[in-house]
Amino acid sequence: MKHYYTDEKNTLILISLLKQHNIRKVIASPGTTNISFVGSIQFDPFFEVYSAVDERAAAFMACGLAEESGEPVVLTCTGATASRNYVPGLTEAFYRKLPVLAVTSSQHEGRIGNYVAQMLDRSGQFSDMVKMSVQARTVYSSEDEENMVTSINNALLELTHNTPGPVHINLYTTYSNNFVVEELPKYRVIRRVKEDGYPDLPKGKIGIFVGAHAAFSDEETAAIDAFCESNNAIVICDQISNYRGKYRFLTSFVNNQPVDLGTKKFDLLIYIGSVHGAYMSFSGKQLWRVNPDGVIRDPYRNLTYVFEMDEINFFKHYATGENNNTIKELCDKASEAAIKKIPELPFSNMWIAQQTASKIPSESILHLSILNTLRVWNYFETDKTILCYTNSGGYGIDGCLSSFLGSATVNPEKEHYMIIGDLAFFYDMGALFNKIPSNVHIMLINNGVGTEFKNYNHRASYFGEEANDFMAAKGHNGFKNENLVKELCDKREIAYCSASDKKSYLSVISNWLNKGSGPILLEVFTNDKDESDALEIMNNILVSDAVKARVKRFVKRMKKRVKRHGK
Amino acid sequence: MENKYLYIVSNLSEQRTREIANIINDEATILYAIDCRTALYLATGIAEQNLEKVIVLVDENNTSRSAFSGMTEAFYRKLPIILVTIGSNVDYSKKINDTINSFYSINSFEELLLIDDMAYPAHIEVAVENYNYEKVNCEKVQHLLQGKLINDEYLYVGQGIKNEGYDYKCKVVNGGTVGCFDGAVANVLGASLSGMRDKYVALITDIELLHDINTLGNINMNDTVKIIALCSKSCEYLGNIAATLGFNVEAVNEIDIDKNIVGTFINSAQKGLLLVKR
Repeated sequence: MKHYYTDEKNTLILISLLKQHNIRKVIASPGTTNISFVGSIQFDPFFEVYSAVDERAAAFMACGLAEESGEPVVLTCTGATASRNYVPGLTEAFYRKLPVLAVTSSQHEGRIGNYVAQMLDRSGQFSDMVKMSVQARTVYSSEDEENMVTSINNALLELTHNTPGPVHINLYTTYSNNFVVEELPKYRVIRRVKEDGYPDLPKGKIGIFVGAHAAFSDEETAAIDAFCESNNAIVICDQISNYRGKYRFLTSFVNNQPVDLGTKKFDLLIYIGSVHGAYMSFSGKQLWRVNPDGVIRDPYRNLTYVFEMDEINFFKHYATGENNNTIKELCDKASEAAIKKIPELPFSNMWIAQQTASKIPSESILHLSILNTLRVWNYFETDKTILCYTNSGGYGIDGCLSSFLGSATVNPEKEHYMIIGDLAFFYDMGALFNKIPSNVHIMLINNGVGTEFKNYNHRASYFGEEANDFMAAKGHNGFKNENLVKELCDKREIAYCSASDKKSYLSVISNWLNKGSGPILLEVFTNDKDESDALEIMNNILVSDAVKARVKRFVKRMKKRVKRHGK
Repeated sequence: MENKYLYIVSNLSEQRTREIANIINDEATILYAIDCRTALYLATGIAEQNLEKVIVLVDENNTSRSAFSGMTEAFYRKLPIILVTIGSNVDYSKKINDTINSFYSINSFEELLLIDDMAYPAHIEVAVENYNYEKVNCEKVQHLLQGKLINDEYLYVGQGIKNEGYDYKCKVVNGGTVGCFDGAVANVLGASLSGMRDKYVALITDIELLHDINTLGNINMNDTVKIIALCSKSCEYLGNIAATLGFNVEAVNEIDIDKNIVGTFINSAQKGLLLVKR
């Protein structure tokens, strides 16, 4: 009788990654629920499988075997109280720092608490029992599959990460009796590099993707520049990346175009910093993350390496001193080509950003509120001495103003500029009832609605005007009431000015920008249609003439059809 | 149910149990269990039959971790079990969800009597000083082993054995965790599965052997494993079980043990159990 692997994908992922991480020793306890796993590995000559009936003894055996062999040891058990008997042995493994992986098999988690026989709740663990616990659910979608690949890699790496110790995987099963997979699929493996074992850089284009980041020191900037020069790399930035070296590429404008000018696809992405600001369009064949925390973070589900080290050490390691950079010129030309073609924009946050971004005074701090403001202000460059921030950690609109005022209050020597939409402003307006320092310049873009949800390419656009009430929250706070914020400012001793068109804007902006004019608030009244139109224009600057012609012909045909058939 | 606790199952010594029982209820029926896991299941049996609350006493070290299979049983059957862990050698700040319905941290046993309306099963931590388990001093045996075990061999010294100031040439593993006597034999068996050495010797107490008695019959038990158990009480029955499972069993009084006995035992080609009577 030939023996093949189970068709349960989460189990296949686990087995594939155990092999790729070279974890071969398994102590199996008998049961039904873990048969998909045991039935697959017991015939695979890679694995050394031992039996132990008492799970408590099994876990202690794993301690002894892990310590003596210097290798991780896997435990596998069924449902019911089997896994509870692992607890003492896992506790010992925790205190003795031994890499023991407890794979407990389980029925569907929806059965927890429903008095289904043998079903336990394995979602909570004692603090000193395992370093990490992962729920390895049944895979139904491609995102489930990618999630499992990341989670299981993370669990296996944690066995020996920093202080070795036990890890738990709760492996769900559908009790499939199909052991039909002849060849074990090779799922993506993630590895961690600390001091040695650096992989070779792939050849081709490299993008250093910088999420939210603190200001870079001169030395860090030089290290990144040297890396880029020798490895044909560009630094994919948004405003909150705060990288201001030679290879900065403010990506949004060019990469949001419907054509690819060679700036979107990379052979390797290197990810530093935390969560990004603007939603930028780019992709890489694989992702390497560099961060001293060494944590597995896999935003695009293509992570292959995590470098647990300071960024500067990583970049210095790979810089060769040669000059092989061709991508910078490509990106610069694409940016120039796009900027040249910008037509007159409607009066909107986008137009304001176009007019004002480069005029924010040097050495200032700029805050951009979530989300549309953050988006449009990423289309235009700011002075290279400016540091920019947004609440990209939680991505909420609830504290944008507070975060800005906090920074302004404790950094009185730096002028602080904030661009904020009306939903975010009024959400957090209570922050203005604290002491407001004089280095504060707030620009409130008030269109009376969550413009984010009214943009042409947002999923709420499907609903048209019917999105206004409950998706876009139109009409709150007096709907563009001209006196509300004015009176608020008056009460809080904040200088107030307003604008409702290009002319009035241009007449007040210089004063708003002036150092020493604060605290000052400029309220700009726009409308969501102009906001959306401006965004659509900017996102289609570089559509090729051929495409434009095709689109024009298509739209003409559709209009004729509608007229003919009334559909 | 009245507030009085009629039943106590204890994993502690008789003397310690009596001291606590005098506070809780000096007329309580007391059962003793060497193994904490057993203690909990004894309690579930009592609770389901008698519909009465049962207190289980155990030191708060890794031993108490064996309580949680029985606590799971109690949880799903809604049995009035109160696990009382004494001391603070392990961390119970987070919970395993389906094992308890209430948790208390108190400073004395008197406070236990003040707790009303407990949701069962319950876990009560009594934050008193950790109990200091006395380890067995077996100098003679250790000196003999020192002379017999060489570089490429393995010695596991259990938690019950005092192990200070010995200079072994072989690899020495001081396994286990403070106050916990589970898993010693299993640890050694596990190590032997690596196949890296010719001998895997365990120096443990009879209590540790008893905790792990079902490991003797593991199908992977092999001839590299040699267990030396210091027996404070009669442990002939342990030898009988081991012999039935194919162990070479020997018994000797500690006073009579010498290098020949130790040498012959550990060099035997068969898995072995040497009972050293104190």
